[in-house]
Amino acid sequence: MSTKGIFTALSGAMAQTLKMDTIANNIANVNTTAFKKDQQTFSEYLSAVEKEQQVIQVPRVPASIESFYDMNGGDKAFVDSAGTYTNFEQGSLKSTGGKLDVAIDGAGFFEIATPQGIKLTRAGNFTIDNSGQLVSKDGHAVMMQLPEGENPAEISPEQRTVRFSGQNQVYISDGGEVFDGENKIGQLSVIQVKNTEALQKTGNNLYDFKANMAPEITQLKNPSLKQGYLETSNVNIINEMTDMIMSQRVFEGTQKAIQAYDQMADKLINQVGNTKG
Amino acid sequence: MIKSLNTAATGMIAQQSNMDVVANNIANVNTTGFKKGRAEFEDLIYHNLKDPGQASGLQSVTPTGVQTGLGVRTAAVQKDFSMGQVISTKNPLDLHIEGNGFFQVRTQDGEMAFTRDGSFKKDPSGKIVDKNGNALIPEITVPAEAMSVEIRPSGEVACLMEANAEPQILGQIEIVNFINPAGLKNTGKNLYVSTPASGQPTTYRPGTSGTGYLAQGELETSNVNIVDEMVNMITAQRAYETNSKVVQTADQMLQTAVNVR
Repeated sequence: MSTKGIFTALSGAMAQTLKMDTIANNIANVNTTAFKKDQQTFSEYLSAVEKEQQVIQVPRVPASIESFYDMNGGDKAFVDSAGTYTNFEQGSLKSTGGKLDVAIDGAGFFEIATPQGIKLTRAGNFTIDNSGQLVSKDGHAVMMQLPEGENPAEISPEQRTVRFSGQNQVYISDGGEVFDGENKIGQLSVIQVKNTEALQKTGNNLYDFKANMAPEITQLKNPSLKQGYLETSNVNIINEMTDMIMSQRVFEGTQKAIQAYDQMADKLINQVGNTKG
Repeated sequence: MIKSLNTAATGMIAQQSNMDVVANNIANVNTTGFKKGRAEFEDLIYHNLKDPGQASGLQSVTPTGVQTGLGVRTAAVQKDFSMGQVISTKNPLDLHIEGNGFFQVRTQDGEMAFTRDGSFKKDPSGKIVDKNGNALIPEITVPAEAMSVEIRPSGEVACLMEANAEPQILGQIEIVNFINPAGLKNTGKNLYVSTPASGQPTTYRPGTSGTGYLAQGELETSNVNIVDEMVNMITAQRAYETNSKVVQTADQMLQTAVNVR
């Protein structure tokens, strides 16, 4: 008898811990503007995938004990975290009445110029800084679309920022056009990423592209925005609580399995192996 | 598990500050010229357990990475400068700015402060001051023998000395505006002071460059909407409770792990 299955149970416990961490983060961000929930996925990790491919051994005798134990690596199976998937489902829109609050209705992301390069966000709770520039909550400039017919190479990122004079009422239309009083300054840049799995969260409501995946980006010419609204978090408390209960019980189950293996080892060592009889 | 305990704690702290903002809004529901605040949140950094594209076997790579977030923080308390309701008081020194802008006053320590509370008074020398005795800038003194004071929409202050005399101009009330009013700092007593985020104040005659005209005998009430605040309070409380459940669950899971042996 072997007790190496204790490590399989342990891998299950560790996987549930990871799932619990993700649920805790989702619940903590239940009121975060435009937060998108994360989901952990798990897969079976067979040690067979580490082995070289071999010629398949055809059993000589049908369903013998020998062929039963030929598990093709399945004897060393662990739970492995396969990936974190961000669920980009639309969050509901909440009316705030703010002049500079914009929600994206549908797919798309705003472009934000951070010191680490351009990042994406769906949080449209913008504000104006002391120089009249439209900025995100962290003070990074919000980018506009390139003007029609301009060469992207000739336009510096500074020319794509939104700058208000501060003397007029500011207004952002549902198509993303930015007005300073009567003057149209430009149009907010809203880009769509076809393969959202190429995005990675970097905190502060921002997304960045993963280093080794090619994102498919298209610029939305006429984005569907809602001024005076903010997108709420798409975390559903009921789902998260249910997942949390499940995660807790599975965790308890794996602990029971570990206990069972421990008791088996105890019997093996202290009763079977007892030579004093 | 320890991570989810901390994550839930950040969630509880964030909802606490949400609740603090709501409480202050509700407390100031009858404060003249009060502007409500709104707590805004953002997620913290993410812990990358496995980078995307890392080998998961001899011939396979992970298509997505594994990352867990570490919680939430309050990014800002955004002030909402939308207009409050107007109440008519018929008091000649009650002023209401019908649009953007702030009155400027000089506080006792000589600093400039800004306010939207237009309930001005006269001090013993006839100078126009706010409730706390801070002088309205530019200073205007109403003579003791004046019969009535008239403040015109464009800010001109005139008084009538005798029943049939021409009104006598006493001065001009100027209002200031900021490029980013949300960057002003509250100092209590309905006063704001300028900060590097708000930019420098620019002085205007009322009604010019996007500022509002003045209305005499009216006051601006608080822009707090009780229904909104009650809903925010319920959301904050329930979110707080949910986060505390996460703490409990994480604690129970730790207990299970400890009791294995």
